[in-house]
Amino acid sequence: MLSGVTVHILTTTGPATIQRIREEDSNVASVICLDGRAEALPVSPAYDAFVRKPIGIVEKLTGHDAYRMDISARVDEGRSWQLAAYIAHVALLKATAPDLHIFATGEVDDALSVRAVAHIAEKLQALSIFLETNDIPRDQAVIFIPAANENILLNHDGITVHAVTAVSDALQVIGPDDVIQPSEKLSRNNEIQTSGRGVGWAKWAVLLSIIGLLFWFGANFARWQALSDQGRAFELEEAINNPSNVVASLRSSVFRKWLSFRKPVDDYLKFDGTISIAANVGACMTPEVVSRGPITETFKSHATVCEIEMSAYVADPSLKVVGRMAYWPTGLGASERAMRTMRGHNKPTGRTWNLAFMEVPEPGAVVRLITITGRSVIQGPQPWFQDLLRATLESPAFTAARQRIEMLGYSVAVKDWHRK
Amino acid sequence: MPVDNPLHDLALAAIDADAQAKELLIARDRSSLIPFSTIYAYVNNPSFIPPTDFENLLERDLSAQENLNRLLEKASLAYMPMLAAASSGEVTRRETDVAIMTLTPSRVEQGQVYLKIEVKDLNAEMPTQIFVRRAGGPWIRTALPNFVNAQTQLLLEAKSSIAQVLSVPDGEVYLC
Repeated sequence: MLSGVTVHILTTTGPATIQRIREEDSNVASVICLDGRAEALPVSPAYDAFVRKPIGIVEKLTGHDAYRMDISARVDEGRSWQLAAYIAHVALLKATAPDLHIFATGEVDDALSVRAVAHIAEKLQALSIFLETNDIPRDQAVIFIPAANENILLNHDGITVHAVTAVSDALQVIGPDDVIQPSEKLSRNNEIQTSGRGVGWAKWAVLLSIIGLLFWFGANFARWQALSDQGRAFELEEAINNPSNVVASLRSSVFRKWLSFRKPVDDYLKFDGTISIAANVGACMTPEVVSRGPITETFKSHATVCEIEMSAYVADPSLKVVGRMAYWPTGLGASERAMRTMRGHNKPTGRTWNLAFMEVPEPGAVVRLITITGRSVIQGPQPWFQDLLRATLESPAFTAARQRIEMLGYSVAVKDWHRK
Repeated sequence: MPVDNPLHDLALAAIDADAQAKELLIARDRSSLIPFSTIYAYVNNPSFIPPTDFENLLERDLSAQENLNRLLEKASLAYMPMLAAASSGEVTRRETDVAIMTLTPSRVEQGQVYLKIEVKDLNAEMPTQIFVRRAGGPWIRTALPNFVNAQTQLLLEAKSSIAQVLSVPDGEVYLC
């Protein structure tokens, strides 16, 4: 699952689901592995070429040159996995994307055009078998097939088929307007073709519907909004996650949608940070010999790291930032608890976390900063921090924790610092 | 002067027969050990699957071990001897004038490591197998993926015997 999007590679033996994509060390070649095992599939060298510059197109997109992709079933040959792989990389970059199952086949060239591939009929037949045993909502699924292939149907087993000539055609579906579903996209296209007068009436109809819905919400809405305004996020979660009946369930769904509109998006938060280093642990105690510089994601020098300070600040004064900084001396989540967890404090420059190391970080150490930003300062219990601070970014635990708080109208940001 | 004694002749014949029998038995034993052709295929053919008891037999058969060592010397592109490591720390890199070998832990799966092999001469015939062993230990053989631009990579469990041998200084390596 990648930001709500699940990408499947269509193969003649059935779809291979892309389970995760994670950055690997630049020293190694990119690999495609089977289900988390220590088995690089034979297509791995081709995937590395697909990723790494100068030929690769993924590094141009992401800026990183080595990845590990895990998939659920074998892909042993060919290049038809490329379209799905590229879409998955794009989805990984998106903070949000619709819940969507993408089934794709196609070869991608360096101009990001999609080239024809063989065995489309067999792949679709295998997909049909897959759909019999996998509960995939048809209205939350799309199939991408190269337009260069002939005899493409518009629909397969209830799923819309898109014939794509370029990667951009496919990306429109998971594009910046993340509420667009395939079916909605089609209706939106239709709307564009309607007359201006028709659009005006439609607007009035939508407005009246919203007013009606507000009345229908009644007391629930007011209570939930109050909890939201007061930052009582845990209570709010309890309230909207436990509807008493079907009507309440519908109301909570609508309220969740409303909260999603309140979530800060797009460059709402800036980070700053400094790192203080010295020749040895003893020198950390002597300010004159400690040097300071901007913090980077990784630290490779042999110097002793005395202290890390990170700040998070927002341009919009209506937004509030909270967060935790956790220190994992032997690696992220490697021990039961982080050695230190800090809440930070507000400074004129923003919310600031200052970590002076009692046990200086050795290679493998990780410091993770999690910020949660919203329209109110969160009060009370915040159980989501546990997974946010210890789980890897692509892990289900992290994703679930992130979705949990983002569903309440907050945005989560992560800054990891690694000592190499 | 020799004595013409039938009993003596009989005794000599018996001793001779016993010696011949022993020789035959030894010869039969030898024929049950690993044939040279098997050792040869083991070293030169990555798709060759040795008999199930191959390792046990090899362990007991000094002659086969000598043959294996000679073949490895002869067939290998590169030999990486044990390292005279100053510390007993984990080895992550071995280099000769022919090849470079590095071990890089996976960022994604903590229990897995990447073994990357780079042959310096782009025009050399690329190895197809790697043989590793610790001092005095048995050889461990693994087929290598095809080289691309004189490089190849294996993903290994960090606890696998090959990864463990490669990460200690007293491991030695042949690339064949």
